[in-house]
Amino acid sequence: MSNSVCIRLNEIHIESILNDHDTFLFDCDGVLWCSPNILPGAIELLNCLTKLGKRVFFVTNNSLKTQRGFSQWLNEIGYQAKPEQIICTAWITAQYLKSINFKGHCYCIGMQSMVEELGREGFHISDGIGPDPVPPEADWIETNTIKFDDNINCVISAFDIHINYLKIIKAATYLSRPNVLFLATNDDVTTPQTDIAILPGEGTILASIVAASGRSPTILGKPRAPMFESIRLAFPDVKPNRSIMVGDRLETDILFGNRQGLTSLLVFSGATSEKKLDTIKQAVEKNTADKDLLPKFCIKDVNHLLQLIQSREKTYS
Amino acid sequence: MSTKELCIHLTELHAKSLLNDNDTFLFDCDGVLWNFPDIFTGAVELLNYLTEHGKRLFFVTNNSTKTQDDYAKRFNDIGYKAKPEQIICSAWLTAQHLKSINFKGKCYVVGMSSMKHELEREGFQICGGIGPDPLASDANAIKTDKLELDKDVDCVISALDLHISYIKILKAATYLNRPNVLFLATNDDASLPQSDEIVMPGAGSILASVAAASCRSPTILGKPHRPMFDAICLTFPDVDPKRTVMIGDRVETDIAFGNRQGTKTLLVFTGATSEKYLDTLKQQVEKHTTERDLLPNFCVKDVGQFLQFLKSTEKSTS
Repeated sequence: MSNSVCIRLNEIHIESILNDHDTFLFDCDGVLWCSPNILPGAIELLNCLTKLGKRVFFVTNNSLKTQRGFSQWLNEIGYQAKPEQIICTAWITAQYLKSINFKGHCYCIGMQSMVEELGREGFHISDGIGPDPVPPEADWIETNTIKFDDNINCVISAFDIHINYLKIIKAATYLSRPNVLFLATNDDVTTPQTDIAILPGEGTILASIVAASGRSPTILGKPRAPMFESIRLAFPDVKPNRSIMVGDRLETDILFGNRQGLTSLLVFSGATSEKKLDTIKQAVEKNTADKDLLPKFCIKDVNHLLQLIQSREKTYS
Repeated sequence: MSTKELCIHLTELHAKSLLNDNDTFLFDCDGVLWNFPDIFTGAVELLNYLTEHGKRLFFVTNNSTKTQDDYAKRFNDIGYKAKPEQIICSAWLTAQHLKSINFKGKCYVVGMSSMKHELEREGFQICGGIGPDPLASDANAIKTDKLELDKDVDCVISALDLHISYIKILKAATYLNRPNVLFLATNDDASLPQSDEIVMPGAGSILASVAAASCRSPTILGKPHRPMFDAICLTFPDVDPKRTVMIGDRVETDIAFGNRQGTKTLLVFTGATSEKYLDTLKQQVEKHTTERDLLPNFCVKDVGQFLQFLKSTEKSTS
């Protein structure tokens, strides 16, 4: 097994990419689309791989997605996705609670997607979804006016545009009680960006709760294992050494792929530029960065991957 | 590491030495003098006692939600004649810091009106961040084209903010992503002292979200960092740390601050730190897993007891 990394994917590798891998895992933002634009060749690639008999999964840390909503949307844009192909963090949170036989109520700093996915598995979110307003003139919070639910034994931190001081009070107070579980969907500090603004991600919200509570959560999303474990649980014939993870972000997608024993393929259409990859490569050589951040292969974008596959197909037809 | 000379339970004898050997007393406020509106028994009497004995007093607080004038008024209302220059609070300190670096430009301040007041007092311009910046309650996404972003922000300041919101964190991080934008924080206390079981997020919780989203680290002004002590010495150059006592309730801020500036430190158990927690810390220091700076020279139940010890030494020598 070669130890080389950051190999520029081209015609000489495509044979083994296709022959040696049955399962393709795709990150979405920055790989298949750069919101709101679907990237050229993305849908065609998914259909091409499916036609070649490959299994395809969508592995996204975006906690606003649901299996139902996301698969429906993929169908609308031309790829026949089934809900079980969607491995998203709202769904994985419900799976995790199921796997630990969780009984109780949750305080969830998150949005409707969390309600939907947890509800599907019978888990009850008592509070934390949507606005919980602080009076606009307030210069203090009267703590004796805050309503707490004594049945809450789990706090979940996800993406929430309605995050505010009162919600952090509640989360941190629940977390100070004995035997209260602390989960986070993921810890990406920003969501994929526009040029206009930095968009704070789940990790930003999580940081305020971690600071106030002094507690560390169990984090479920990439780069940690649960998302791949859930695929293997549902599809036991999926093998890590015959799976490939395609992503745009080193510290989530590529680290995830490498740590689970998958082949990792970085695209330059999203969060990571060639220059950034070079910087990390140098840091790894100096032992100041984790070597698992480096992808086995890299390629400009999914369109180039499609073209390589299509040229091979032409050669063999 | 030996902790023999540390965490000594204050006795009359120690109290007498503290009085004789020190000219300046620095007090943290929340959890030491009061849990507002409850003023601790003996607090005001202690302040007056020390003043009558010719001691110089300063109030050194990370609390960014009040101005120097707010504190001066509060002290006067409860029976201690405080002058504004005795009050070293983090909102005031932020303005002093900007003044000291000759700052020119506009500030985006994630904080309360106290910050606005202290900064504008020194002529600094604030371009947003104070008070609510709400999203529609039925919003489920951010419309980036509708965001109102100021073109010329030169500094982002993070303080305690009851009106923290996603939009404010977005704006702070976006400004911090521009070149040459200064990043300051009043303090990074994770939570506020509370008398009930409820956890109140501190400026540190707000700061954590701004720092995470921007991937930047701020210059932090409040305890345990130096600026508060430097501000005192600037106006009162004869203040000698070796003849100064820092009295506080939180080891990570008050006690570390005092120890690092070379003052004596006295911990009270009426606020953030319990006796049990101090014991745990002491053991960790002995095992070299926690820094020594967190341990106070002395500890006492509360300021009332410190006063009692001082008064009984007087009785015994009269």
